[in-house]
Amino acid sequence: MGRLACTATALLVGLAIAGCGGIEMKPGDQVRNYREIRPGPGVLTGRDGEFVILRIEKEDSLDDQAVQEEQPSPDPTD
Amino acid sequence: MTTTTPGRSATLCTALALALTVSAAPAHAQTATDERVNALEQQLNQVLQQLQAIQRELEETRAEAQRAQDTAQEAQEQAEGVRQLQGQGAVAQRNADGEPLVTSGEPRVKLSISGQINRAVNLANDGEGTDAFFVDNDTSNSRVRFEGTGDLGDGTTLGTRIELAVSPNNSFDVSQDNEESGDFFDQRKVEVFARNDSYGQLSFGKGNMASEDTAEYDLSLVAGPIMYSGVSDIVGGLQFTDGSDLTGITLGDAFTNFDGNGRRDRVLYDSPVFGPGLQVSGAAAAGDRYDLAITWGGDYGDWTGVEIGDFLTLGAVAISDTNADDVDFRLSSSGSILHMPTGLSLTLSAGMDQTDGDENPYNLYGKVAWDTQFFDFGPTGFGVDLTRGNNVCAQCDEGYSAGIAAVQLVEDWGLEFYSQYRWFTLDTEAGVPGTDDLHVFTLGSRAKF
Repeated sequence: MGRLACTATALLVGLAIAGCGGIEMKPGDQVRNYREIRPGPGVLTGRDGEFVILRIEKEDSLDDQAVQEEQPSPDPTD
Repeated sequence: MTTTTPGRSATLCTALALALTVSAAPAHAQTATDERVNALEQQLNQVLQQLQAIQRELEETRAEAQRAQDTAQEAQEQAEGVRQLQGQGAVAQRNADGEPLVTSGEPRVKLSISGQINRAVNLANDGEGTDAFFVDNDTSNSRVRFEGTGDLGDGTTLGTRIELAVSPNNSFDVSQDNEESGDFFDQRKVEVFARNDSYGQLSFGKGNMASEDTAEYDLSLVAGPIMYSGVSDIVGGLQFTDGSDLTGITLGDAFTNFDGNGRRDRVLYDSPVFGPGLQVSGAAAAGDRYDLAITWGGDYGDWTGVEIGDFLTLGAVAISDTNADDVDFRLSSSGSILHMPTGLSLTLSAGMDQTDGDENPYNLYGKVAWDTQFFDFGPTGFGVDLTRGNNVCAQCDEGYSAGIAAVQLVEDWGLEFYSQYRWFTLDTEAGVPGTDDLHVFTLGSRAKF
């Protein structure tokens, strides 16, 4: 009985995947493993949902920032 | 008779004149001295007046200097206050923008801390009486996570993860004869991993086996804190009674979903995602434990699913060598489909052990759920489920459990409030005393910090 149920479930999953041939499929864009620590805001951590205690920036991003600071702001009348 | 001669008179006159002259000279000198003294006194008075004037000016200057100093100090304090306000404003702005407090920009290396608290109260009637149990909900227990990730470029990420469960009075331990089970610490994950978009992910250390969660794939909201195929987690330590005494058969013994090999000290490989969401995973662990899993929409454990039209799909099957006595292998499977426009979902789970005995234990689970949005602050979820277990423990025959649950999210605060009513019944093997049904009502909350 148990083996039959597992086999049936596996077959159904396989058939569902195979039966979807020709239908447009795309990966979901939202984390839904809700039993893990949920993504999103936290009571204390705010919108990020985590305390970032160390972050090192990319060198090229720092360079880009420096270049942007050196460049004069564009003339709004242009 | 007195006689006067001319020479004598002249002499007297001369003497008198001299005497007068001598006597008149000091008086003249005294007058000059007084005049000089007066002049000096006047000069001295003028000098004193000038000194007093200078002193007044000096005091005024000092007072002005003090006032200027006070003003400068006040200005400095105000400037400091403004700087602090500007700093707080900048922090608030960064928070409002979702930027980290320490630095900003594209991360190359990041170390972060996150976690949750999940506490509940169970009101349980075991046929003998009703009691309240204050527990940490083992469905998704309280925990803290430390995670470090580094972007090595070219789609490669190197990471480390330490996740510790801190779960006092864990609901899988609390029972009628032990309402205070005490501290519960579990090193859930201590691992290092490397992921590449083209080659997949290799994980080393303690963490999920390939088959972990493959009987628990679920897209419904209620699955997070309270209602999923592991129906006994919230009351796993409670025992069935025979109406008067405890039987020693816990709900955790009688109801299990045969969810693979759990978390072990292992090496795990996850393939890259083929097509929209197909992955193959394999793991080898200490104690001669091995497993293999195929997942659909699993996305390295994130369960993002695969969208097919209006439906979101998720599924997994796995086979495990649990290295348990009399068990040849374990099969685990589950699937969930969510109709995104309506929020209705169906979840199925099945698991079994292939044993040397005549009857293989197995578990079947089904749930219908509805996710909707009544309030602006977060979605609401409802679920109804049914479980059937067979020969799950040595004294067990058939067991059933049914439940109804609701959960409310407060998204901006990372809060969930949930409740559930669940019924358990168990038939025992011949020769084992019968058990009374057990009813549990749960109220709880999970807070992400």
